[in-house]
Amino acid sequence: MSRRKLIRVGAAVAISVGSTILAAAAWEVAEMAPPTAGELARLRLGESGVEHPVTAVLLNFRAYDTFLEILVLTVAFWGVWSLEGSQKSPFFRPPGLLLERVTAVLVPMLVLLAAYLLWAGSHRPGGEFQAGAVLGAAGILTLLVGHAVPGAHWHIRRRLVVVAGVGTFIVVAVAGAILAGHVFAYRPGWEMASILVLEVTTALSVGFILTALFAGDAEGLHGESPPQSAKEDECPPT
Amino acid sequence: MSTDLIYATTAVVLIGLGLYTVLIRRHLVRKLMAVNILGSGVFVLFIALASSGEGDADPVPQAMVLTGIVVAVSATALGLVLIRRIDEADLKNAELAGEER
Repeated sequence: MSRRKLIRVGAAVAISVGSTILAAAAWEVAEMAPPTAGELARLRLGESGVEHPVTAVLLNFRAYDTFLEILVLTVAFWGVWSLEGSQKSPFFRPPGLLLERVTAVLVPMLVLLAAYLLWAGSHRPGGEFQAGAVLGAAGILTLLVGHAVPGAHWHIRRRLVVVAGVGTFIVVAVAGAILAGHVFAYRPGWEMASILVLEVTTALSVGFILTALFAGDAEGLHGESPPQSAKEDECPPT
Repeated sequence: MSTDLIYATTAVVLIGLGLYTVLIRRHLVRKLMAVNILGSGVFVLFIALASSGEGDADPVPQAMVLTGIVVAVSATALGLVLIRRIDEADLKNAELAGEER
C-alpha cells in the first residue's frame, strides 16, 4: 500500500470512529443535562412580545446573536464586493419567452410570500431570515433571467439597504440601553413594535445581501448588458 | 429512539464525509463543499438533539441553527469569490512562468 493511500485509509478510520464518539457523547450530554435555556425561553414567552418561541429567542432573548449574525452577513458582503473585478459569467443566453413570463409571475409571488413569512414569524415558523431568503431567491432569479435588480443603480438606496439590518439593531440596542436599562432590553409594551421593525429591516437586508453576494459586484446587479464590449480587459502592466 | 438513531447516524455520516474531504482532497471547491456538508451534519445533530426530549422542540438550538445557516451561506459566498481569485492568480502566474521560459 502506498503511503498516500495509507494516510487516506487512516484518516477515514480515525474520522469515522471520532465522529461516532462525538455524536454519542453529544447525545449523552443532551440527555443528562436538564434543558435550561430553551425551557426558560418557553416559560417566559409571554414577555417576549411574540408567540413563537424561535422568533422570541432570535429577536428578543438572544437578539445579540442575531445582531452579530447580520453583521457577519454584511461583512461577507463587503468582502465579496471588495474583491470584484473578476470575469463575468461568460455563458449568458437570453431567456426564452416562457422563462421570462414565468419569472414575471413568480417574482411578485415570491415578494408576497416573503411578506407572509415575515408576518407568520410572530406566531408560527417563519420570520426574517426565511423572508430574506425568499427575497434573495427572487433577486437571484431576476439576475439569472438577465434583468437588473430594481433600484440597484441607486447607490444611496443600495447602501442604505445593506446597512439597514445592522443599523436598526444598533438603534434598538441603544434605545434599550437608554429606555429600559440594558442593551437589547425592550421597553415593556414596546416588544412587538421593536421586533417588527427589526424583522422588516433585517429581512430587506438579508434579501438584498444574498442577491448581492450572488451578483458579485455592483455591475452584476444590473443584469446582462446586451453585448459586452469591454470584455477583453487589458492586462495591467506588470 | 429509532428516529433519534436515524438522525444521529445521518449527522455522523455527514460530519465524517465532510471532515474526510476537507483533510484529504486538494481541490478548493471540494474543500468548501465539504465544509458545507460538515456544517449540515452539525445542524442535523443539533436539531435532532433539540427535539429528542419530551414535549416541543427546544427553541434555542433551532434559533442557533438558523443563525448558523445564514453564516454558512455568507462564508461560502466569500470563500467562492476567494477561490476564484486564487485560480485567476494561479493562471496568471503560470502564464508569467511560461513567458520567462
